[in-house]
Amino acid sequence: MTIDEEALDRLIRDAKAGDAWAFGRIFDEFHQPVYRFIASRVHRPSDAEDLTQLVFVKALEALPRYEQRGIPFGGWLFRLARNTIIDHIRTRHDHAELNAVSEHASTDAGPEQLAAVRDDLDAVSRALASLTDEQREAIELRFFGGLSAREAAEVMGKQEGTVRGLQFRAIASLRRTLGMDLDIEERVEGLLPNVADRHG
Amino acid sequence: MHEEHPGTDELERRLGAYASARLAPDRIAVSRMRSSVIEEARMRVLDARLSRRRNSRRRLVAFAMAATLTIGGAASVAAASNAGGPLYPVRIWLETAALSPDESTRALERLHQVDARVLDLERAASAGDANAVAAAIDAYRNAVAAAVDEAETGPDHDRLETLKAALGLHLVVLERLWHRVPDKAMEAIGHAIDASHKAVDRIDAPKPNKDKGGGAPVDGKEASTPAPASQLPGPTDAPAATSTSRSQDEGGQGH
Repeated sequence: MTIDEEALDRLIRDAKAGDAWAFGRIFDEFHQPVYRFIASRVHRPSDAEDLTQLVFVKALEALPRYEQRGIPFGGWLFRLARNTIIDHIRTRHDHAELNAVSEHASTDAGPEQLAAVRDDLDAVSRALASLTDEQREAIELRFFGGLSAREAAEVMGKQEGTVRGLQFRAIASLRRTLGMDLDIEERVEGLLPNVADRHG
Repeated sequence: MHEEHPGTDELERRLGAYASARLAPDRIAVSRMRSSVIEEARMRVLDARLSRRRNSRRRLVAFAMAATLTIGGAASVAAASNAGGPLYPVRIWLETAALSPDESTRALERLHQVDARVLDLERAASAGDANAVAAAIDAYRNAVAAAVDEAETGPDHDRLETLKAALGLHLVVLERLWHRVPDKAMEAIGHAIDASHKAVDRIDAPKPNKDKGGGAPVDGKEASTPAPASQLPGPTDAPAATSTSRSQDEGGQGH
């Protein structure tokens, strides 16, 4: 988030009092991470757009009941987002359509570079898919949603320490799957032909 | 996160690249979402504000209508208040009647009103309804003109800059629409694009010293007072002289 806590509190107070501009500023501040979190779950950009909009409309409705002294606003908003996604998946049986996933690639890159970038993105996508649901959610909230461990714990309804543990294991798994965790011996072994095979 | 997981820089970079490439909304989508959310917020404010003025009969009627339109209790009424519907002018009137008397709040509300008209236009164009497109464009031109009029007469120069930035975003949306609508609606969208361009030009035009009684030049003429809405191009003006070519590649817009 680019806004400090005090400014955010002021915006929330103003939005609660019916200031549409203040709510617009809250939207500006949070739409990107909320969209990313949703898009990582529903895959279709059109659904991600509809659901992001719905989350903010729900936030507008629920804002008068939001207590600033309670949970952090980010956690509160992402909890709305999480429930919205769950409802959506439950009712729409959503599943990813790879060809519907939009890609924002640099137009400066050549075809080979683009292919390499695409391969890398596909690898990250597969690595994320290999995580458990909870590990993936921890990563999505922390990395894509930009939430603190405390906020992520609030959203997931878990202890902060539990979320940190999930994140730790998720990172270890991602590094392993993406080949970032190989020590030098493993790297060398991977490059050498298998001696046993060669000698039958 | 580094302090917890040393050496995650590379992973963080790759996850960041993945999020930017595959999980980021494009500008058009952001503009669409923002307009919808702001319109929703404004309608709620309008609803609340009107409910506080129930003692006036006229406002009681307005409240009932606005509440109906906002809550959407009757689908037919809600549909009728869409661009091109019989209640669309009533909705615009209600929105304008509910604008805050406070100058700075009013300026922002005017801005949101212009955003809402772009949203109306997008909806009308998506539905392929030429009448609705025409009504939305007319309302858009009037909203832009009113916003520029008020921003120019206000003391705060930032308002003009904010308005200019918003108009720039609208131009992106309008030009994208221009490529998509049926030929019949192209000319109308062209008028809206021209209205935005002229409003931006008007904001950019050097302002003569107010003490000398000068106003902003409009369409090459020196006006003694800020140009009223009627001086912006209307639907009966000559076809819009936009430089946009329909055959242009759309790739430059958004993603």
